[in-house]
Amino acid sequence: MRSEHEERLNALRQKLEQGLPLDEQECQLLDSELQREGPEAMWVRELPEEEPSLAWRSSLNARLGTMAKAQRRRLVWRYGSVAATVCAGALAAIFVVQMMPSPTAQAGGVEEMLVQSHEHWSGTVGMDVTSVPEPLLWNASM
Amino acid sequence: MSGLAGARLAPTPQSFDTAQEEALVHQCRRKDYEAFAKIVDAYQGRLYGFLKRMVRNEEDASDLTQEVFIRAFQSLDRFDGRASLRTWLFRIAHNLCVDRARKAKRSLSTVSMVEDDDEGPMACVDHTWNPERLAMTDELRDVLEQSLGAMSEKLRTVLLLHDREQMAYDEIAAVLNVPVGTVKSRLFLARAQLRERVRVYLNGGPQ
Repeated sequence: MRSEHEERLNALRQKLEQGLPLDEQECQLLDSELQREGPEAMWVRELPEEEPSLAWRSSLNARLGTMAKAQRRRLVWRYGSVAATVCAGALAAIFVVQMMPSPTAQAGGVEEMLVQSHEHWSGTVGMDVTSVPEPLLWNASM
Repeated sequence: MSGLAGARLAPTPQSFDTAQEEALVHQCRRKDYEAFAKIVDAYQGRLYGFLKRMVRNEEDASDLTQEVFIRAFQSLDRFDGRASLRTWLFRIAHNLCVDRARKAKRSLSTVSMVEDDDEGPMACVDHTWNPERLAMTDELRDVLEQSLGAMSEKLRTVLLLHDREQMAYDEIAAVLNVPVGTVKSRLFLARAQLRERVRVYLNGGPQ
Protein backbone atom coordinates (compact mmCIF):
# COMPACT_ATOMS: atom_id res chain seq x y z
CA MET A 1 0.00 0.00 0.00
CA ARG A 2 1.55 3.24 -1.08
CA SER A 3 1.50 6.28 1.12
CA GLU A 4 -0.16 9.46 0.00
CA HIS A 5 3.24 11.09 -0.42
CA GLU A 6 4.39 8.39 -2.79
CA GLU A 7 1.21 8.74 -4.78
CA ARG A 8 1.81 12.45 -5.11
CA LEU A 9 5.42 11.85 -6.16
CA ASN A 10 4.39 9.41 -8.84
CA ALA A 11 1.73 11.80 -10.09
CA LEU A 12 4.32 14.54 -10.20
CA ARG A 13 6.72 12.35 -12.13
CA GLN A 14 4.10 11.40 -14.67
CA LYS A 15 3.21 15.04 -15.18
CA LEU A 16 6.86 15.96 -15.66
CA GLU A 17 7.42 13.12 -18.10
CA GLN A 18 4.44 14.28 -20.11
CA GLY A 19 5.66 17.89 -19.99
CA LEU A 20 2.47 19.14 -18.35
CA PRO A 21 2.49 22.38 -16.33
CA LEU A 22 2.60 22.06 -12.52
CA ASP A 23 0.33 23.77 -10.03
CA GLU A 24 1.67 25.58 -6.98
CA GLN A 25 1.47 22.56 -4.68
CA GLU A 26 3.28 20.40 -7.19
CA CYS A 27 5.99 23.03 -7.57
CA GLN A 28 6.45 23.03 -3.79
CA LEU A 29 6.60 19.24 -3.78
CA LEU A 30 9.19 19.32 -6.53
CA ASP A 31 11.32 21.84 -4.63
CA SER A 32 11.13 19.90 -1.39
CA GLU A 33 12.01 16.62 -3.13
CA LEU A 34 14.99 18.22 -4.82
CA GLN A 35 16.18 19.70 -1.54
CA ARG A 36 15.83 16.34 0.19
CA GLU A 37 18.71 15.10 -1.93
CA GLY A 38 18.49 11.35 -1.57
CA PRO A 39 21.32 8.84 -1.94
CA GLU A 40 21.40 9.28 -5.74
CA ALA A 41 23.07 12.65 -5.35
CA MET A 42 25.66 11.18 -3.01
CA TRP A 43 26.39 8.30 -5.39
CA VAL A 44 26.94 10.64 -8.29
CA ARG A 45 29.14 12.87 -6.15
CA GLU A 46 31.25 9.91 -5.08
CA LEU A 47 31.92 8.61 -8.55
CA PRO A 48 35.68 8.61 -9.19
CA GLU A 49 37.21 11.64 -10.82
CA GLU A 50 39.65 11.03 -13.63
CA GLU A 51 42.37 13.36 -14.79
CA PRO A 52 43.60 13.51 -18.36
CA SER A 53 47.07 12.11 -18.89
CA LEU A 54 50.34 14.06 -18.99
CA ALA A 55 50.53 13.27 -22.71
CA TRP A 56 47.16 14.98 -23.11
CA ARG A 57 48.46 18.00 -21.25
CA SER A 58 51.63 18.30 -23.32
CA SER A 59 49.56 17.96 -26.47
CA LEU A 60 47.33 20.81 -25.26
CA ASN A 61 50.41 22.92 -24.47
CA ALA A 62 51.77 22.25 -27.96
CA ARG A 63 48.48 23.35 -29.54
CA LEU A 64 48.39 26.48 -27.43
CA GLY A 65 52.01 27.21 -28.37
CA THR A 66 51.20 26.84 -32.06
CA MET A 67 48.26 29.19 -31.62
CA ALA A 68 50.48 31.71 -29.87
CA LYS A 69 53.04 31.64 -32.69
CA ALA A 70 50.30 32.10 -35.28
CA GLN A 71 48.89 35.03 -33.32
CA ARG A 72 52.33 36.61 -33.02
CA ARG A 73 52.86 36.21 -36.78
CA ARG A 74 49.51 37.84 -37.44
CA LEU A 75 50.40 40.72 -35.12
CA VAL A 76 53.83 41.17 -36.72
CA TRP A 77 52.27 41.10 -40.17
CA ARG A 78 49.55 43.58 -39.21
CA TYR A 79 51.75 46.07 -37.36
CA GLY A 80 54.67 45.50 -39.75
CA SER A 81 52.57 46.42 -42.75
CA VAL A 82 51.28 49.53 -40.99
CA ALA A 83 54.84 50.56 -40.06
CA ALA A 84 56.08 49.93 -43.60
CA THR A 85 53.28 52.06 -45.03
CA VAL A 86 54.07 54.89 -42.62
CA CYS A 87 57.80 54.73 -43.46
CA ALA A 88 57.11 54.70 -47.19
CA GLY A 89 54.82 57.70 -46.82
CA ALA A 90 57.41 59.62 -44.81
CA LEU A 91 60.15 58.90 -47.37
CA ALA A 92 57.87 59.96 -50.19
CA ALA A 93 57.03 63.19 -48.37
CA ILE A 94 60.74 63.97 -47.84
CA PHE A 95 61.49 63.24 -51.47
CA VAL A 96 58.68 65.47 -52.70
CA VAL A 97 59.77 68.32 -50.42
CA GLN A 98 63.34 68.10 -51.66
CA MET A 99 62.32 68.04 -55.30
CA MET A 100 60.20 71.18 -55.02
CA PRO A 101 61.84 74.32 -56.59
CA SER A 102 62.96 77.09 -54.25
CA PRO A 103 60.50 79.94 -53.98
CA THR A 104 60.95 82.50 -56.80
CA ALA A 105 59.52 85.89 -57.39
CA GLN A 106 56.35 85.99 -59.35
CA ALA A 107 56.76 87.27 -62.87
CA GLY A 108 55.74 90.92 -63.23
CA GLY A 109 55.50 91.41 -59.48
CA VAL A 110 57.17 93.99 -57.28
CA GLU A 111 59.66 91.41 -56.06
CA GLU A 112 60.81 90.63 -59.59
CA MET A 113 61.22 94.32 -60.31
CA LEU A 114 63.34 94.77 -57.22
CA VAL A 115 65.48 91.76 -58.12
CA GLN A 116 65.95 93.00 -61.68
CA SER A 117 66.76 96.46 -60.46
CA HIS A 118 69.33 95.09 -58.04
CA GLU A 119 70.93 92.90 -60.72
CA HIS A 120 71.02 95.79 -63.17
CA TRP A 121 72.59 98.10 -60.60
CA SER A 122 75.22 95.64 -59.47
CA GLY A 123 76.02 94.81 -63.11
CA THR A 124 76.45 98.48 -63.93
CA VAL A 125 78.78 99.12 -61.02
CA GLY A 126 80.89 96.15 -61.99
CA MET A 127 81.04 97.29 -65.55
CA ASP A 128 82.15 100.81 -64.49
CA VAL A 129 85.10 99.54 -62.56
CA THR A 130 86.36 97.07 -65.07
CA SER A 131 85.47 98.81 -68.33
CA VAL A 132 87.51 102.01 -67.97
CA PRO A 133 90.55 101.71 -70.31
CA GLU A 134 93.94 102.12 -68.67
CA PRO A 135 95.32 104.91 -70.89
CA LEU A 136 92.43 107.06 -69.98
CA LEU A 137 93.28 106.65 -66.38
CA TRP A 138 96.88 107.62 -67.06
CA ASN A 139 95.79 110.74 -68.96
CA ALA A 140 93.58 111.73 -66.18
CA SER A 141 96.37 111.52 -63.66
CA MET A 142 98.65 113.71 -65.78
CA MET B 1 44.30 11.53 -27.46
CA SER B 2 44.08 8.64 -25.16
CA GLY B 3 45.23 7.28 -21.85
CA LEU B 4 44.58 8.31 -18.35
CA ALA B 5 47.12 9.18 -15.74
CA GLY B 6 44.99 8.01 -12.88
CA ALA B 7 41.73 8.23 -11.09
CA ARG B 8 40.83 9.90 -7.84
CA LEU B 9 37.91 8.83 -5.75
CA ALA B 10 37.00 12.20 -4.36
CA PRO B 11 36.43 15.18 -6.63
CA THR B 12 38.57 18.19 -5.91
CA PRO B 13 36.55 21.33 -6.44
CA GLN B 14 39.50 23.54 -7.22
CA SER B 15 38.01 26.84 -8.21
CA PHE B 16 38.89 30.48 -7.73
CA ASP B 17 37.17 33.27 -5.91
CA THR B 18 35.84 36.17 -7.96
CA ALA B 19 38.89 38.39 -7.55
CA GLN B 20 41.31 35.59 -8.43
CA GLU B 21 39.20 34.67 -11.40
CA GLU B 22 39.08 38.25 -12.69
CA ALA B 23 42.84 38.59 -12.30
CA LEU B 24 43.44 35.32 -14.13
CA VAL B 25 41.10 36.23 -16.97
CA HIS B 26 42.78 39.62 -17.27
CA GLN B 27 46.19 37.96 -17.48
CA CYS B 28 44.94 35.44 -20.01
CA ARG B 29 43.62 38.20 -22.25
CA ARG B 30 47.19 39.46 -22.43
CA LYS B 31 48.14 35.96 -23.57
CA ASP B 32 49.74 34.98 -20.29
CA TYR B 33 50.12 31.21 -20.66
CA GLU B 34 50.99 30.61 -17.03
CA ALA B 35 47.70 32.14 -15.97
CA PHE B 36 45.85 30.02 -18.50
CA ALA B 37 47.70 26.93 -17.24
CA LYS B 38 46.24 27.59 -13.79
CA ILE B 39 42.75 27.58 -15.28
CA VAL B 40 43.52 24.33 -17.11
CA ASP B 41 44.86 22.78 -13.89
CA ALA B 42 41.73 23.74 -12.03
CA TYR B 43 39.19 22.51 -14.54
CA GLN B 44 40.76 19.79 -16.69
CA GLY B 45 39.68 16.90 -14.44
CA ARG B 46 36.15 18.14 -13.96
CA LEU B 47 35.61 18.90 -17.62
CA TYR B 48 37.17 15.63 -18.69
CA GLY B 49 34.99 13.68 -16.26
CA PHE B 50 31.88 15.51 -17.41
CA LEU B 51 32.66 15.01 -21.09
CA LYS B 52 33.62 11.38 -20.63
CA ARG B 53 30.27 10.64 -19.01
CA MET B 54 28.50 12.62 -21.69
CA VAL B 55 30.13 11.10 -24.78
CA ARG B 56 30.90 7.66 -23.29
CA ASN B 57 34.23 7.49 -25.08
CA GLU B 58 37.64 8.27 -23.56
CA GLU B 59 39.30 9.39 -26.76
CA ASP B 60 36.46 11.68 -27.77
CA ALA B 61 36.32 13.05 -24.23
CA SER B 62 40.05 13.87 -24.33
CA ASP B 63 39.72 15.60 -27.69
CA LEU B 64 36.66 17.55 -26.59
CA THR B 65 38.34 18.62 -23.35
CA GLN B 66 41.25 20.01 -25.36
CA GLU B 67 38.82 21.73 -27.67
CA VAL B 68 37.11 23.37 -24.70
CA PHE B 69 40.38 24.91 -23.55
CA ILE B 70 41.44 25.91 -27.06
CA ARG B 71 38.13 27.67 -27.66
CA ALA B 72 38.25 29.26 -24.24
CA PHE B 73 41.73 30.62 -24.89
CA GLN B 74 40.74 31.91 -28.32
CA SER B 75 37.63 33.65 -27.08
CA LEU B 76 38.58 34.90 -23.64
CA ASP B 77 38.23 38.42 -25.04
CA ARG B 78 34.52 37.74 -25.39
CA PHE B 79 34.14 36.44 -21.82
CA ASP B 80 32.21 39.27 -20.17
CA GLY B 81 32.35 37.95 -16.60
CA ARG B 82 28.58 37.93 -16.13
CA ALA B 83 28.71 34.18 -15.55
CA SER B 84 31.51 32.48 -13.67
CA LEU B 85 34.45 31.01 -15.49
CA ARG B 86 33.22 27.54 -14.52
CA THR B 87 29.78 28.19 -16.03
CA TRP B 88 31.39 29.53 -19.18
CA LEU B 89 33.71 26.53 -19.57
CA PHE B 90 30.92 24.04 -18.99
CA ARG B 91 28.75 25.91 -21.49
CA ILE B 92 31.47 25.51 -24.10
CA ALA B 93 31.72 21.81 -23.19
CA HIS B 94 27.97 21.36 -23.44
CA ASN B 95 27.82 23.13 -26.81
CA LEU B 96 30.59 20.87 -28.10
CA CYS B 97 28.59 17.84 -26.97
CA VAL B 98 25.52 19.15 -28.77
CA ASP B 99 27.55 19.77 -31.95
CA ARG B 100 29.03 16.30 -31.73
CA ALA B 101 25.60 14.74 -31.20
CA ARG B 102 24.24 16.65 -34.21
CA LYS B 103 27.09 15.42 -36.39
CA ALA B 104 26.57 11.87 -35.16
CA LYS B 105 22.87 12.16 -35.82
CA ARG B 106 23.51 13.38 -39.36
CA SER B 107 26.02 10.66 -40.16
CA LEU B 108 24.61 7.71 -38.27
CA SER B 109 21.01 8.68 -37.53
CA THR B 110 21.61 7.81 -33.90
CA VAL B 111 19.52 8.96 -30.98
CA SER B 112 21.05 12.08 -29.59
CA MET B 113 20.58 14.96 -27.24
CA VAL B 114 19.16 17.14 -29.97
CA GLU B 115 16.07 14.97 -30.00
CA ASP B 116 13.23 15.39 -27.59
CA ASP B 117 13.18 13.39 -24.41
CA ASP B 118 11.94 9.98 -25.27
CA GLU B 119 12.05 8.26 -21.97
CA GLY B 120 10.08 5.08 -22.03
CA PRO B 121 7.53 4.33 -19.38
CA MET B 122 9.24 3.59 -16.09
CA ALA B 123 7.97 1.61 -13.18
CA CYS B 124 6.64 3.65 -10.29
CA VAL B 125 9.23 4.64 -7.74
CA ASP B 126 9.38 2.35 -4.76
CA HIS B 127 10.42 4.34 -1.71
CA THR B 128 10.40 1.41 0.68
CA TRP B 129 13.90 0.14 -0.06
CA ASN B 130 16.81 1.61 1.82
CA PRO B 131 19.54 2.74 -0.56
CA GLU B 132 21.35 4.78 2.11
CA ARG B 133 22.80 1.53 3.38
CA LEU B 134 24.53 0.87 0.08
CA ALA B 135 28.28 1.13 0.12
CA MET B 136 30.04 2.55 -2.91
CA THR B 137 31.52 -0.65 -4.26
CA ASP B 138 33.17 -1.11 -7.63
CA GLU B 139 30.09 -2.98 -8.73
CA LEU B 140 27.78 -0.16 -7.72
CA ARG B 141 30.06 2.27 -9.51
CA ASP B 142 29.72 0.24 -12.68
CA VAL B 143 25.96 0.15 -12.26
CA LEU B 144 25.88 3.90 -11.76
CA GLU B 145 28.05 4.55 -14.79
CA GLN B 146 25.88 2.27 -16.88
CA SER B 147 22.73 3.88 -15.57
CA LEU B 148 24.08 7.32 -16.40
CA GLY B 149 24.96 6.12 -19.87
CA ALA B 150 21.49 4.72 -20.40
CA MET B 151 19.85 7.99 -19.38
CA SER B 152 18.89 10.57 -21.99
CA GLU B 153 21.64 13.14 -22.47
CA LYS B 154 19.40 15.97 -21.32
CA LEU B 155 18.72 14.33 -17.98
CA ARG B 156 22.32 13.17 -17.60
CA THR B 157 23.69 16.66 -18.19
CA VAL B 158 21.56 18.16 -15.44
CA LEU B 159 22.29 15.33 -13.02
CA LEU B 160 26.05 15.64 -13.55
CA LEU B 161 26.10 19.41 -13.33
CA HIS B 162 24.00 19.51 -10.18
CA ASP B 163 24.94 16.44 -8.18
CA ARG B 164 28.48 16.04 -9.45
CA GLU B 165 29.62 19.61 -10.08
CA GLN B 166 27.34 21.04 -7.41
CA MET B 167 26.15 23.84 -9.62
CA ALA B 168 23.13 25.91 -8.63
CA TYR B 169 19.95 25.72 -10.68
CA ASP B 170 20.44 29.14 -12.25
CA GLU B 171 24.02 28.27 -13.14
CA ILE B 172 22.87 25.09 -14.88
CA ALA B 173 20.13 27.06 -16.62
CA ALA B 174 22.83 29.43 -17.92
CA VAL B 175 24.98 26.54 -19.15
CA LEU B 176 22.12 24.83 -20.95
CA ASN B 177 20.22 27.97 -21.91
CA VAL B 178 16.95 26.64 -20.51
CA PRO B 179 14.59 27.94 -17.79
CA VAL B 180 15.29 27.07 -14.15
CA GLY B 181 12.00 25.13 -13.99
CA THR B 182 13.23 22.85 -16.77
CA VAL B 183 16.43 22.24 -14.83
CA LYS B 184 14.44 21.24 -11.75
CA SER B 185 12.11 18.90 -13.59
CA ARG B 186 15.00 17.23 -15.42
CA LEU B 187 16.89 16.77 -12.16
CA PHE B 188 13.87 15.21 -10.51
CA LEU B 189 13.39 12.79 -13.40
CA ALA B 190 17.09 11.98 -13.61
CA ARG B 191 17.29 11.09 -9.93
CA ALA B 192 14.13 9.04 -10.15
CA GLN B 193 15.52 7.09 -13.09
CA LEU B 194 18.84 6.52 -11.39
CA ARG B 195 17.12 5.32 -8.24
CA GLU B 196 14.94 3.01 -10.28
CA ARG B 197 17.84 1.49 -12.17
CA VAL B 198 19.84 0.87 -9.01
CA ARG B 199 16.78 -0.68 -7.43
CA VAL B 200 16.44 -3.05 -10.37
CA TYR B 201 20.12 -3.96 -10.00
CA LEU B 202 19.71 -4.63 -6.27
CA ASN B 203 16.71 -6.82 -6.94
CA GLY B 204 18.84 -8.87 -9.29
CA GLY B 205 17.19 -7.52 -12.41
CA PRO B 206 18.88 -6.92 -15.76
CA GLN B 207 21.22 -3.99 -16.23
